Amino acid sequence: MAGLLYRVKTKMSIFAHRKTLDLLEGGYASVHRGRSHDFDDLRAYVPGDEVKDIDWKATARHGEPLVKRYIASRRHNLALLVDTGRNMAATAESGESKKDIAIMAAGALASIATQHGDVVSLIVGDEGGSRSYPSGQKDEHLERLLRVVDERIRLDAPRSDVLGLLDTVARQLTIRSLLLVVTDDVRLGDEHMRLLRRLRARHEVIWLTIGDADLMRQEGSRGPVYDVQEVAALPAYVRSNRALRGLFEEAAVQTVVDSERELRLLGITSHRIGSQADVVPGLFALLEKQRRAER
Amino acid sequence: MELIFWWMPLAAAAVAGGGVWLYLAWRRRSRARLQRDGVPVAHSERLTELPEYQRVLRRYRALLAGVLTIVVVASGVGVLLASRVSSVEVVQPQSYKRDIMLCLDVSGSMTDVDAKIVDTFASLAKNLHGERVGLTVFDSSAVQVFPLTDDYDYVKTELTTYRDSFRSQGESGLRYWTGTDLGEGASLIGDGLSSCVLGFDGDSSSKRPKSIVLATDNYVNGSPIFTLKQAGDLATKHDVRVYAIDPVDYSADGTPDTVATQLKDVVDKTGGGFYGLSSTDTVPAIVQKIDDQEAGLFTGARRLVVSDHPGPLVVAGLLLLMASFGLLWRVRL
Repeated sequence: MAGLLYRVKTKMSIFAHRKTLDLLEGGYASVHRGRSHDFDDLRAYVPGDEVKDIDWKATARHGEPLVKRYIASRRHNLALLVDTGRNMAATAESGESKKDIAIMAAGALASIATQHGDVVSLIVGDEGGSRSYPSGQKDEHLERLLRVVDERIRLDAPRSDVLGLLDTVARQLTIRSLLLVVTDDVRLGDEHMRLLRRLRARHEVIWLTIGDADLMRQEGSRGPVYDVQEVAALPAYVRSNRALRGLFEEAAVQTVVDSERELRLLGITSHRIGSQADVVPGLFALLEKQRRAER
Repeated sequence: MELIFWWMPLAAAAVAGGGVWLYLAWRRRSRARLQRDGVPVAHSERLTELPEYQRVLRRYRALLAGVLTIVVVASGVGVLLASRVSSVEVVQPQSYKRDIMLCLDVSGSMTDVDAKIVDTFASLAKNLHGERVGLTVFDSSAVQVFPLTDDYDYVKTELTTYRDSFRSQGESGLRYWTGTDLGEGASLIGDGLSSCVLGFDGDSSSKRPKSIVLATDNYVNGSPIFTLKQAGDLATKHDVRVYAIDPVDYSADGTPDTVATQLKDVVDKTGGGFYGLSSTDTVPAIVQKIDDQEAGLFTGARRLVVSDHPGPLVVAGLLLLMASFGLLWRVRL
């Protein structure tokens, strides 16, 4: 059957140009730190690769730019940390389901990673507990991981618990990995910061925020707006208040800016996307930021 | 104040109870409905934590409470309207649908009294409702000046014309005695009264009270076809009461003379009355007495009058309805 991974790949090529995808791959290839000088082989230069990694002599011989690949950087571990609470089943900024965007983002990065020969694992978590899925490289494995995400995120799923998810990862994930945290506009507290500091000590962490719906936007003729956490409707009268709308937008922007700043202080790169079309450019921007931050 | 449909509030209460029950059932299912039709969003605390949100929510709740109150009150008003708030009264309507024939002896001695009588009735005419007035004058023969009519403008005009004629002894305007001197003799009371009795229309089955105001001094000069007694019997047979106004020539000892007594006997027999005109009794006072006596005779049957009073309720209901529409629009329900 045409699986989730296939869909993700199709969407990637719909939403991004070939060039962007190349850039994305290059960006991914360059985010890993800790090169050894254990030279392994050469591969074709991909835009986004570090210029200093180019093997100029080999390039001169070959006629095309080639970069050195080192053993240390050859096989990385990408861990997808996906919040699978019911918050993620809610509406995103674009009106799509946040779940679709999360699957798209996780699938896109995972497929790039496997093309690079890296292994991908998945850790999902909500209030009902967290669960880890082992590393793998094949498409079938990725498909299975994406299905886990797809099945767990439902409107009647347990509530979201990013803290529990981070805690599990901090305790269980010992292999040095690149962590992609996929969550929504969660407000980061001191406890989050403490756990992230611990994670940051061992892993590379990149943080992908899937923007939540604008609560004050008029949805036209669509049904009542309700909060998934408490299943309580937000009265239309309140949502149409103009002064409140201004204040809400201000506060929402402030929250986004605050969490990005706090994450940056911890050395964690973060990016916020609002729709599936945002995923590829968003991931690229995220990796680009990450690469710059390392320098 | 009573309710005609006393069961309506009970029915309304039952309906309201059913409505509340349905609402509760609906509410139980509304959670599922929300999840089916609604737009799920997360992190609503971004909004609900704002102090402004709390303020707006409080206002929203106040508006909702207002709407609820108005709707409940409006429903109450509606129920009251539907149960027909009414007042119940027992009324005893006076019968104004009388027929009055003025029967005036226009022999020379009577013109003064006649003038006063027509003057009184002319001034009464504007207050009449449903009564019919006719005028017949007689001396040796009777003339019907106008038949029973409720055209009060016409009545007043005619009476005024006759009053002026009486006052001026026929010198100016109309000669009041025209046509009354065709018979033999003068002041043929019996014939005059009979003419008046036969002047009522309809047969004996007519329910309208009939009365005659007869002004005469009962001094007969000649031989009438009907004696006074026969005329009285005719009146009794036609169910007509005769009220006589007589400028009694009290003799020195203060008792009415025999002709006056004779007249009194006749009119008393018809169920009417005899009023001697003395210096203390003016014509208007006598007419008033006659009127009172008649009114006492003919009051309508006691009736239960139930009248609805929807006016204030309709206004209140409309205003409340408009207010509730306004508020509903405001809270966007």
